[in-house]
Amino acid sequence: MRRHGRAPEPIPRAKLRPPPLHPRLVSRPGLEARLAEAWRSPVTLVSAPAGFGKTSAVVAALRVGEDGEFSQHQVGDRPVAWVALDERDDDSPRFFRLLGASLQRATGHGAELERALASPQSPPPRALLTPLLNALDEADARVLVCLDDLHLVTDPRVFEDLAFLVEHAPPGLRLMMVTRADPPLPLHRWRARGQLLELRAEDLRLRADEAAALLAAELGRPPGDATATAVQRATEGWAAGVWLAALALQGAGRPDERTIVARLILGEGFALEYLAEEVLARLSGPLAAFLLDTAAFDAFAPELVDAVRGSDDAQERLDEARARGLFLQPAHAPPGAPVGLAWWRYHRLFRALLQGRGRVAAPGRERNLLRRAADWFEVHDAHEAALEAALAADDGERVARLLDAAAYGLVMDGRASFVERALEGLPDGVRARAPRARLAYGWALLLRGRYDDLATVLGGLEGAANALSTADRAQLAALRAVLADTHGRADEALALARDALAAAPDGDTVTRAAAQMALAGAHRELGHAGPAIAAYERALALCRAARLPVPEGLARAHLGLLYVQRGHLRKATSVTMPLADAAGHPAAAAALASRCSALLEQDEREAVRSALPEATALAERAGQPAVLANLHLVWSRLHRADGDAALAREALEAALAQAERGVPTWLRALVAVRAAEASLADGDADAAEVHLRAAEALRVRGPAASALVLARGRLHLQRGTPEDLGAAVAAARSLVDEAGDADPGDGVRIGALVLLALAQAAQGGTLAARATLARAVRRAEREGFVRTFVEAGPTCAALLAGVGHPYAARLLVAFAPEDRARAGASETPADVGVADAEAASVGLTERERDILRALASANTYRRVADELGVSVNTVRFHVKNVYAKLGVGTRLEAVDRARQLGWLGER
Amino acid sequence: MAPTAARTYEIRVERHLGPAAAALFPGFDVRHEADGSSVLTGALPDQAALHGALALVRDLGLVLTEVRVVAGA
Repeated sequence: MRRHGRAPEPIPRAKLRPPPLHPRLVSRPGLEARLAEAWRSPVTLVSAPAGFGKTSAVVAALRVGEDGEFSQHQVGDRPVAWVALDERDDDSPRFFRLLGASLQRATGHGAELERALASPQSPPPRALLTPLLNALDEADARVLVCLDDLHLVTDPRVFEDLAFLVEHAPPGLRLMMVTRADPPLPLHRWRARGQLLELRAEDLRLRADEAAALLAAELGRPPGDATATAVQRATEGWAAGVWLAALALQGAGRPDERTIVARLILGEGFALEYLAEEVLARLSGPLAAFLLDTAAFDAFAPELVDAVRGSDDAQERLDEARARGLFLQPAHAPPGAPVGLAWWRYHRLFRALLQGRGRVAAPGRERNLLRRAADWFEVHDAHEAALEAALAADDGERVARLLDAAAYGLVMDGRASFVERALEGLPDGVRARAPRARLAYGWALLLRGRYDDLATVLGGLEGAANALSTADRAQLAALRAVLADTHGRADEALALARDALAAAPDGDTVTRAAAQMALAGAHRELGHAGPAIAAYERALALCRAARLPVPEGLARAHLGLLYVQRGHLRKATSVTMPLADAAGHPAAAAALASRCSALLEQDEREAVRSALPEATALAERAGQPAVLANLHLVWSRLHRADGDAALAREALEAALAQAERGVPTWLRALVAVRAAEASLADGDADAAEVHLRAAEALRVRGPAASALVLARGRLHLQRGTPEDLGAAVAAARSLVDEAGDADPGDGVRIGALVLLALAQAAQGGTLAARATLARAVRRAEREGFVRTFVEAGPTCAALLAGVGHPYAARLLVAFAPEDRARAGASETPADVGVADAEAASVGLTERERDILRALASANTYRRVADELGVSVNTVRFHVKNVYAKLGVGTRLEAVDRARQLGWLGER
Repeated sequence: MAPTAARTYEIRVERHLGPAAAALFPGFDVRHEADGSSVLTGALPDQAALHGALALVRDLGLVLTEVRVVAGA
């Protein structure tokens, strides 16, 4: 079978346009005029049983062209966003993905909704609806959304979000619902507010003159008066019944017509059943048999029909049936079916009537046909279609077998609801024979954060653990480990993950990847950064080998975060690189957050500035508070680097607010630590104390705990009493000396060395301080740390000026000019950094000078790239070198510097 | 009543259903009443199965006049 990691199933275009009108449709001007009111009503409900001609009337009323193309589906200037629903769309993400695609076609807005929901781990649609509604409002878009066959949807989440959509719809958005059953929406409220236009069975019934017109059109001759009246009364104006009557009357002579009319007038039995029998009786034997057999299928192609019937005349019979107008319509191909075949289906009602007749005529035949169809689909590798046929044949054993083989693929394709329903339909004993399907469903629940349901599924599997294969037991342990993790039981999670790893067979990359992900998560929760990184790296390699893009992205995002915490800035940027442009990936925002965090420490402010807005928008749409908290921390640090303390505080408030919304404990602690550091930067030691106490109360382990010790040390330094300075030195030393599992990593260690140097300087030991800072500088050079030094302020600049290391000079130029000036005034006679930069400037290449000139006039990297005919990444590369050579941190400084040096004049 | 409890239901619709229509309700006995209606009687595992049967009644355009529980299981 196909493996995971494929592109999401494309949306059939036919689902996004109205069906073509029947060529002999009877015109119903009164009804059409009422339906056209839908353009003025916020909500329109067309609710009537099957066969009342709801869709036809709507399509006719909206003046849809025969070709069904959207360019012509307009009344006035309003386009129609059509969504033809089927059973497969009874799943919130799938439903709203379709809505997004349809709105995109009609208005040019909605692509984001469609794309975001195409992934198996999609964000909640609600989070995506608000920006879409805002975009439609801003664009003043006018559009009629028509949801056809809405009764096929039962997922309550769909209706919650539809109600939300109506309540918050911009004035130009109209919603029309065509359905056989009233949807669970606040219709009474909309009715009371006059927002609801309703057309029901009573409005859709054919009047006697309309029934006569329909019969005349179908028969090619006017029916007798008695006939039209009898048909209208017997069918109560029900369009499907009138159609069927027309079919029954078609081949009938006058005497038969009188018999049929007499039976209808008598009105005893179920008129439709009787009419269907009349229709069948008038067909040739082979054609009638063809109809009864093909009614077993939702959709059929002649090739399938011949295969299951052992016949060779399916195409001929099909053509005959179509020529006789036997309710045949083109159908969507079943999922995974061989390409190039033409698929057909009957009108639902006619199919049901045929199905009933077939069951009476040949009991058991329907099931045999469906089983053979399942064989045929299986042979053609259409596992999902085979599954559906096996489900219809009530062939539980086969369902279990197929589900077990196909479940992973289905889940990764976003068909978790289908797997769930198929599993639910199995008897308990048979369900036990599909453990892989239940495990796959478990992963789907996990990806969607439905932990309670996952616990239930796992509970059921544990009861049958003895019957599981070794690999399945490993998967079960991995799932239980991740669940334990999310419930904060990290020790239990670690033990389970180790079990999973021990049981995972060597060659089974999927299971090994799952076990490594579980192990990494447990280590991360326990604060074991080193082992967590190692496990994520192994998981990453396995996910790539097994082509599991969603967990691969998650591993990259976690690694990015861990590498940043450990101070491996270069690794953090390289591991997150593949997600930098993958806005559709569920882990993209998280990866970008780590990436920006690393780039900011390196003082790559331009790169951060260009990536942060998109990352923030992504995380907001996906409703990821943890990622948002991280991003707001980066924003805050960026604003402070730019010298805007007010904006920095605002961003910090936003991070604190996100942390309240439910993020991991270590992150809440980290946000509080950053808040304390911001207070220190503002000179407010008391506020810093409050934040630090809040962080300490959370009793975290790992990198966040180290960051907390460091911040506490910085507070002591700022208080500055001899006791405080002693405490700062002790705190710093404890971090510098930690090793093994407790090793805080270079990020914290460099911060601790800088703190130690400042504390030593404050104690009067300038030489010791310089030596300590020299250690920090040497460590910082490899990964390119900058901001940790700059944020330590002017005293750090002064000390750096005395450190005889080339990287110290590089660091100095990143300080604000006034800090540098103070440093120069107090410690060094010359501005080392600037002098170095000028010395280096002669080394600018021709290309770098071009870039610099372009930077002065064009305002984005993209425009510079276009101007010079190179890629944006090339521009970034050169800009970085130019900054380094000029010893500047921002583009403005680079341009200023270049102006001072006279490089921007005409030459 | 628990939505998952098995019960025996009676579903009454207008008109006498013939064998083909009755065959669409496997597991139900169909009885013709003197007033011209049909009563479908069947044991169903849960409410979801009941809703399935009612949806079929709706899709066939049958007029539903009564649904009642005749026995718990």
